[in-house]
Amino acid sequence: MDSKIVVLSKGRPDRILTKTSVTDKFILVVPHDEVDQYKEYNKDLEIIAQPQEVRGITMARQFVLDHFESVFMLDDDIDYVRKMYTEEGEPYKVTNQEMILQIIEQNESIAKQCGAKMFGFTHVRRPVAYNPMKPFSFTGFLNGSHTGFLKGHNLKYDPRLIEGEDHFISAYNVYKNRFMIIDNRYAFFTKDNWKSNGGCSMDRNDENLKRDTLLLRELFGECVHIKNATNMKKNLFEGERTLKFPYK
Amino acid sequence: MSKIPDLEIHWVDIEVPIASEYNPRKITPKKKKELMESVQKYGLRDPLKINTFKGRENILISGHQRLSVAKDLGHKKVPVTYEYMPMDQEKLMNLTWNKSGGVFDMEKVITLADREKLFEIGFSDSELPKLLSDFEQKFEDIDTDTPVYPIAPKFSEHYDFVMIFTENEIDYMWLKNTFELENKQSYKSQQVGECRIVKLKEFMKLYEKWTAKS
Repeated sequence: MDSKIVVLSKGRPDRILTKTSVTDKFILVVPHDEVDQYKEYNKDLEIIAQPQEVRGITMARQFVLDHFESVFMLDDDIDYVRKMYTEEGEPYKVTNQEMILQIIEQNESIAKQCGAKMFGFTHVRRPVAYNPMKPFSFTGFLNGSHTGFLKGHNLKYDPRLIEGEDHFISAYNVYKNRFMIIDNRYAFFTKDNWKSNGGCSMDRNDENLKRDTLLLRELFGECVHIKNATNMKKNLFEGERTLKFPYK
Repeated sequence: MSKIPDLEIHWVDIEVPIASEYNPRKITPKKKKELMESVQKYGLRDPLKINTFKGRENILISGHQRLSVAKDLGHKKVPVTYEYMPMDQEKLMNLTWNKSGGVFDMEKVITLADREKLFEIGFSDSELPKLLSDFEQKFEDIDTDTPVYPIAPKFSEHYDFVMIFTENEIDYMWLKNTFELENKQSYKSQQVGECRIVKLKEFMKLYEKWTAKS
């Protein structure tokens, strides 16, 4: 596997869930003033300090892109990896860390062979939405909490975005590189950390959500839509957005 | 004409009442047919309401569908009662008198009065078009014709794939040799299966090579 697995973390030195749920083989990227605390709790991991001027999730992700040619970025709060294609009653959690690494590696390999520059897994949380006739998608949204970038991606985050950086980079990749590989067979589920302590939640609030949606609409026009409530998800935050591209 | 409306019915030339420019009322073909049958059978029994207010003289407040049907049936005169009201009130009364049994163009309705007034008349929140929040209005106001990063499909742009499934090792080896599939060392102990990609153009070249050989 060419990509380094990198976990961005902030304010959770003793609570890196990803270590137990996904893999314990990764490089940690943390704010420079938290390095010591992270070292205390994560003695066996390589830790890279973000420079002082790196503030917020967008700049942190950009720092990772600048630092690694090919990288698979994970958030620190992945709860579990699930198979989306299981039958009722069949075990759906992938708990074997070696297997999870192979799932990531297989996706990276497919992306490389296809010439894609970004790869990742479905952001859809409902297994009933999985279409077995469509195990892969080629345009769409990749959740920043589990996304890979391959050498030559030529992508750069827009530093004006506070929390919509993953929508930006997904759309910008379609603009620049035309397609990506989204493996719909597996999903990486994060804890519901929208407004909990630590991590990206520090940057999230309703105003930033709306502000970033408006900025994304200016940047990508009709590809950005306001998310509508559905029967499955009735309560939305105002400003939640979705991406729709004019080709698949 | 007195400024105080009387309730007397007047018969006027059918060309006198003028349809209002904002009338939000719609009628389905079925309802129009029923109305036509009724007018044919019983005549116009319910007078139209027209305004006498200065600048709004002869504007129809209620009875647009009946007037249209009477014209279709070739009537020369129609019964009217006179009303006297400024335009704001005229719009409200248009909605009020038509509310029961009316089918409306809701996009027009919301331009005639504020939502509170419309609720008073009897419209419900679910009938009226969704009220846009400040955020939604700002979102709608963004010019999407010239985004910074326009994403448009190139000619025929679409990404897809097929799988080739083999059922035994001999077939698989043939496939591997013919399409020059490289070994994937990292999958020695793999648990998730291999996936080898051959892009179509490459596939066509290899296929031609293979057919030339055989």
